[in-house]
This record gives sequence, C-alpha cells and structure tokens, in this order.
Amino acid sequence: MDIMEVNDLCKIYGKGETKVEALKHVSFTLKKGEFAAVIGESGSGKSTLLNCTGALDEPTGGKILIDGQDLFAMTEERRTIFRRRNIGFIFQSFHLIPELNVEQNIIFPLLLDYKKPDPRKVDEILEVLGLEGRRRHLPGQLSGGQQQRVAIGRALITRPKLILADEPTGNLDRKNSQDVMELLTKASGQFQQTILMITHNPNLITSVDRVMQVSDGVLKDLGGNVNEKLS
Amino acid sequence: MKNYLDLIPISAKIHRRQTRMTRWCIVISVFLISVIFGMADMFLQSQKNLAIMTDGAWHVMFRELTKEQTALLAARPEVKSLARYAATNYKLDMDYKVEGVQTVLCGFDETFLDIYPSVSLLAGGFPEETGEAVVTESMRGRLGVAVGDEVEVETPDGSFAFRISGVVEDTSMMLKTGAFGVFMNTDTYLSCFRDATLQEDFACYVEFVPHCRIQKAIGDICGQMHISKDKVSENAKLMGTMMQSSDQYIWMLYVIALILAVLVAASGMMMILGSMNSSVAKRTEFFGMMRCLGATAKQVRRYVCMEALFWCLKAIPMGLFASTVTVWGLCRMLQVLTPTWFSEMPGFGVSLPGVVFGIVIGLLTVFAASRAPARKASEVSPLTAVSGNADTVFHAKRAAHMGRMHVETALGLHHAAGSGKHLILLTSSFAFSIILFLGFGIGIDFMKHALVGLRPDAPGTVNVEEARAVYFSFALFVYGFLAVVALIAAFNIVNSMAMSVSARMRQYGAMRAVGITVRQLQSMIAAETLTYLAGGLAEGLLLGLPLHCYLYRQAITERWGDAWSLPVWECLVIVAVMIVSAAAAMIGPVRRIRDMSVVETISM
Repeated sequence: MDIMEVNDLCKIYGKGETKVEALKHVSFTLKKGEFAAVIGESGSGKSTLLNCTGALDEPTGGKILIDGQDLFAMTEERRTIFRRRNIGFIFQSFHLIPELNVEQNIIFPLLLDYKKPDPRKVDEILEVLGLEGRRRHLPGQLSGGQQQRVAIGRALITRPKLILADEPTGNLDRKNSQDVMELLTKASGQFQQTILMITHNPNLITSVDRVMQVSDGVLKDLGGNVNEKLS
Repeated sequence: MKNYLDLIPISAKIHRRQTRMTRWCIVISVFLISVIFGMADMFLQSQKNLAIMTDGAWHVMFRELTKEQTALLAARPEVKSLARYAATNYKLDMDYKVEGVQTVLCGFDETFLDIYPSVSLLAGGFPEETGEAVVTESMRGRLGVAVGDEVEVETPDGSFAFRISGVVEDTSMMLKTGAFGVFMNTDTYLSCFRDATLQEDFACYVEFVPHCRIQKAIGDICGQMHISKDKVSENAKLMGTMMQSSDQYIWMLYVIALILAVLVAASGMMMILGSMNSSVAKRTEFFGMMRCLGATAKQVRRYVCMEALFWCLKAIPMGLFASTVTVWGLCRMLQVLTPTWFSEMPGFGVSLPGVVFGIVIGLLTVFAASRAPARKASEVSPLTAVSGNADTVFHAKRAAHMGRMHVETALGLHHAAGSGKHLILLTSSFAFSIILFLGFGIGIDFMKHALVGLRPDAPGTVNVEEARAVYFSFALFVYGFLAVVALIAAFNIVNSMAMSVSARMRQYGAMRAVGITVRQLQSMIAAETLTYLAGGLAEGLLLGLPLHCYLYRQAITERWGDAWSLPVWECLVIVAVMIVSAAAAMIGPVRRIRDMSVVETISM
C-alpha cells in the first residue's frame, strides 16, 4: 500500500535570470513501512523535496498524496492539522521547545490536538528511546544525542503515517549517529513507520530499504541495492 | 579595521532593521527629556520676562532702612542696582490733589526706571533737579499740560509747585480710579513729603548681580546690618522663575517637577533596556562565536556598551532636533493663543538646558541600560555558537506548567512569566507609563485650581475671551503631554511584543513545522501579552496611585486645602489605552507568523 505518492513535483524559485528549478518533475511512491533515504550533494534539491512532501513548502507544480489525500488541496489550517497528526518531523537542529521537558516535548503534537496522551504509550516510547530517567529534564540539560532522541519520540508519538527526517545525524557524533539510525530502523520495523530521510552521509544508507538520489533537481531511484550501484 | 570595535559600524549598517527599534527608543527618550526641560526653560524665561515687565526686575525690597544702612547696602558687591522709593496717598484717602483730582505722590531714584522697565518715560526726562517732577499721561491729557509747564500739588500742609520734566504712563490703579500721579526724585520727595509719609512706605528696591545666591545674600545682609526679616519682601514671581524663591511651596513644585523628570528618564531607560535585551538575545550565537574566537567577557561587554553609544551618535541628534522643532511649535502656539501670558515666549530659541539635559540624560540612560545586556552577552558560552541551541532565547530554568490549560496558553504564560527578571522588566516598563500618566495627571488638577479665576465659566471672569484662551492653552499643554505619555505607553507595548515574538520566530517556525496552527500561536501570543498587561496594570496602579496621592497633597491640598480623591478618569483612560495597545500589539506579530515561511524560519 502506498503511503505517499509524489507526481510530477516541481519547485521553482525566483523569476527571469534568477530563476532556479529546485525540483524537476519528481515522481515516486513510498510504501507503508518503507525506510527510504534521499542522497545528493549540497544544493541538489533534496531538502526542497522533503519540505514539499512535508507540506512545509508549496510546490510550483505537481501533486503530493499522503494516504490518498492531496495535501495542497486543503486549506492551510487543515494542512497544518493533517501534518500534526500524520507526518512526523525530525530536524538536524532538533528544534525542541526549550520551555517543555522531555515528556512534554514528546507529547507536544498530542497536546496541540487537546488530546490526553496514553501514559502507557508515553512510557513505551521513553523506554525505547532510553529516556525514562530524563523525562522531567529540559532540552538545555540534555546532550545532542539525547535531544535528537526526544525529537524522534515527538515524531513517533502520534504514530504518523510518514516520518520525514532532515539530516537527523548532522549534528551528532558517530556513536550517537549510530544510535539514532538504530532507533529509526527499529521504528520502521517495529512500528511499521514509513520513513523518508535526507542525508549526505553515505555510511547511513546501509540501514535503509531504498535509496533515491537527487541531482540538480532530478530524482533517480537507486533501488535497494544501492551499495552496489554507487560503487 | 584596526580593532574589534570597528565591527560596530559595519554591523550597524547590515543589521539596520534589527537595531531600528532600539534606536527609536533612544530617540523618543531624548526627545521627551529635551522637550520637558526645553519647555520648562522657555516657560521660565517667558515668565521671568513677564514678571520683570509686570512686577519689576528687583529681587528684594527692604523697608524702613536708615540712611547709613542704605549706603552700606548700595556698596555691597552683590548689589547690582539699588533704588530708594517712597510714596504717599496711594490709597487716595488723603488730601493730595492737583486741580481737585486725587494725586499719588512718589519719590524714587533714577535707577528705579531700570528696575521697573514698565515705568517708561513717554516724553521728557527724569526729574533730576529739585522742584522737578514727571506727571502721568492722564494728567497731560486732562489738564493739557506739557513738559516745561508748572503743576501745583495741593496738600494739607500747603501747596507745592513742580516743573514738569517728563510724562509717564499711568498705572492700572490710576487708570481705574482716575487719579493723577506726580513723581519726583527721592531727595525732592524727602524735602517736601518726608513727614507726610508713613515709615513703612519708605523702601529700598534691590537687584542683585546675576548668579548671586540671593537667599544667602539676604541672610548676610540682615545679619550684618541688623535688619529684621519682617522688613524684607521678595519679588516672589521673579524669584520663582529664577529658582531662588524662599517660598516652600515653590520649592515643593520644583521637587515635584524633578520627580516627574526622573520618572521620564527612568521610563526611557526601561524602554531602551527592554529593546537592548531583545537585541542581545537575538545575537546569542554571534556573542558565543566572539567568545569562541578568543574575545574575553570584558571585550564582549565593551562591545555591547560601545554599540549602544554608537547608536546614540545618530539617535541623540535626531531626538534633539525633534524636540527643538516641537518646542518652537509649542512656543508659537502659546504666543498666538495667549499673548497676554506668553508674549515673552522665545520664538525660535534653542534651550541650552533642554539640549544639555537631553544629551547628558540620554547618554547616561543608554549607558545604564546597556550594562545588563552587556553582562548577559558576555555570559554567553562559546559552546552556544557551536551547539544546536543557539536560538534559545530565554534559557528555560523550569518546564512550563500545563495544568488544565491548553498547551499554547501554558506556553504563552510561561514565555511571559518563566523568567522573573524578564517579567519584572517588561511589566515595570508598562507600569512606568501608568505611573508617568498618573504623575503628570496632577497637572490637570493643578491647572483647574491655579487658573480657577480664568476658567471661562468661573464667576467674575472679566475678559472671557482672554480667560478662555489662557485656560485652553494650559489645558492643551497638559492634555497634550498626557497624550504623548499615552502614545509612548502604546509604542512600548507594541514594540515589546514585536521584539518578544521576533526573538522566538525560529521556535514558532519549528512549532509550525510540528503542526501548531496560526490560531493556536495567536492564543499563545495573547496569553503572553495579557500576562504582561495584567502585571503592568497591577504594578502601575499600585505604585502610581500612592504617587498621585503624594503629589496631589503636596501641590494642591497644601495650597488649596482640597482632599485627595481617587483619579478615576485618569485611571480609566490609561487602562483603556494599555488594553487597546495590547490588542493592537498582537496584530503585527500574528500577521508575521501567518506570512512566515516555515522553511526559511527554521533554516535561519
């Protein structure tokens, strides 16, 4: 079953001489539980792709369907609410809320929906993330790796249909990077999360199911045997 | 660049927009202080000139001095001018007449004409010779006499003939009563009318040299020459304008003016402090990078302080220019509306006290306001520049308390109240506006009491048009100033909220990415704004009302006996202004959030 369907996606910045085609007729699909990575050089358009698929940025052309729903046919408010409930974001710079503790940061999407979180599910996530002993800590009291784990927890708490990770290990050392990749892989396997991850680190793509490459706005699906293809 | 401080003008050029608010706060502070002191200076100058015109340039009048005492007094170095004076029949109850018309007789020295500029000769000259006298214009008109003619004064002791040496204007009393006046030099007067004159009607008018400490001089004179204090009178009007009055009430008014000036300066400082704090908080990463590269904490502090003083280079002249033009406009308006009272207002004068106080207090205010932000900037850890939390504006010390509130409301309250210092700073800056408003609101009550005879609806008002003009001039002035204070309050709230939101834009961007709606962010900002507003109102009224009571008792109860009562209208007005401003303060930030590109914001 296709969780995400991207058809003929285009994104153009600027006009005339300063016109930049960041994405050129990109099309692909993601199946439920698939862990896909998008690689590419700096300025290739991979972040633009992530931002458009996550409804953070409006494409110039094309369609994006998440679980059959056209994201950009919705009003802005409905799209925001849809994003909150169905898409989890993990950023390179974590972007935690400094005034909320670990537990509050993780359940933040639920709080935005005025929902009372299930304490057992929260405990489960904290345990998976290895943060039970830090639930009352503030982000300023955590290491980078711990903060990224909180961000992953926030992305997972609503059991979203799709998780988008933008260079999730960009600010982490090797050990923490490995830990984060293990968590993402576990989420993909254990919780059947569909994950689309952007990275420029070729070492990370060994854990993924599928690799796509963006180059100059054009997407090329490298499939699952990426190590062979890239070598 | 020769040293790291040379980065300041470069940075100022690039971050012009970000520093605009702080520069405007400095401009407004300098403008307010300079206008207040400038108008006070212009007013005092005009009142001084008016006092000299109406009451004379003399400072002190000594009565019943002996010849020796008068000679000693004239010889004192601090005495610029001395004029002997005596008069009789000024109540028109004695038989001193010219052609059957009651006549006032005066004798004075020629220096009296310098001391009383309003007494000016219309024709002829001062009666220097014995037997000469000047007469009033009404006598010239009604008796058809001229310079050189003789006039005979009939007295109970016989008649005295004088040769007319000159003609002077009638005094208002003479015009009212139709009496004549015959004025001669002191020696002539003493030879003719000494015995007819009451002892207390012999006086010595004294004008002291400029910059003389008059009260000290009076004390020395009385002590050394054994003059009783009840024989001494002051030209209270003139002395009041020179801040040399011994009147306790006048000094109390000066103290009240000083308190209000200090409040204005403090209010300006709070505004600048809030603005600078926000500016520093937005550049945490920059200061962290400075420390990374090897700048010491002292160097970072110096950078922030010098940056603030750099802003003053343009902001202070702008404030001074605006205040000078405003003072010109106000002076002109007062001249046109009430020429009787304000004809002596300088037209295009530059008030030196206004400029000096504007510069000095402006610089001191900025310097004082920059110290705390400078310390904060110097405390930024070098790690902040390289860690992922460089955008942490306010380091949270504790988590937001949710309770039963929605998360956006809880976060909004926490943004406001999470840091005690930040909350106190912002609520105090709002409270200052209320305190200023209530403090200056005393002016309305003072005006109503002081100008009671001039109110157009007051009984016995002689010249209604003139009275109306004077009353409304003062009213315009007082209400105009209160309107400025209210505008400053509104500006402060709008500016503070804009800066607070601006400082958290990256956080709001991240929240938008996670799924917070614009409506929820609006609620968050509303919760924060209302917290500041409630705190500011409470603090402002708690401190402002006792101040209002104190000032009222000193300025009004002390003089007119009226008891203090709660200033309901003033409170309602300023509270309404603050509430409307708070509502308006949310419009800009919400629009910014609605229009912001989430991607660009979180990539900042």
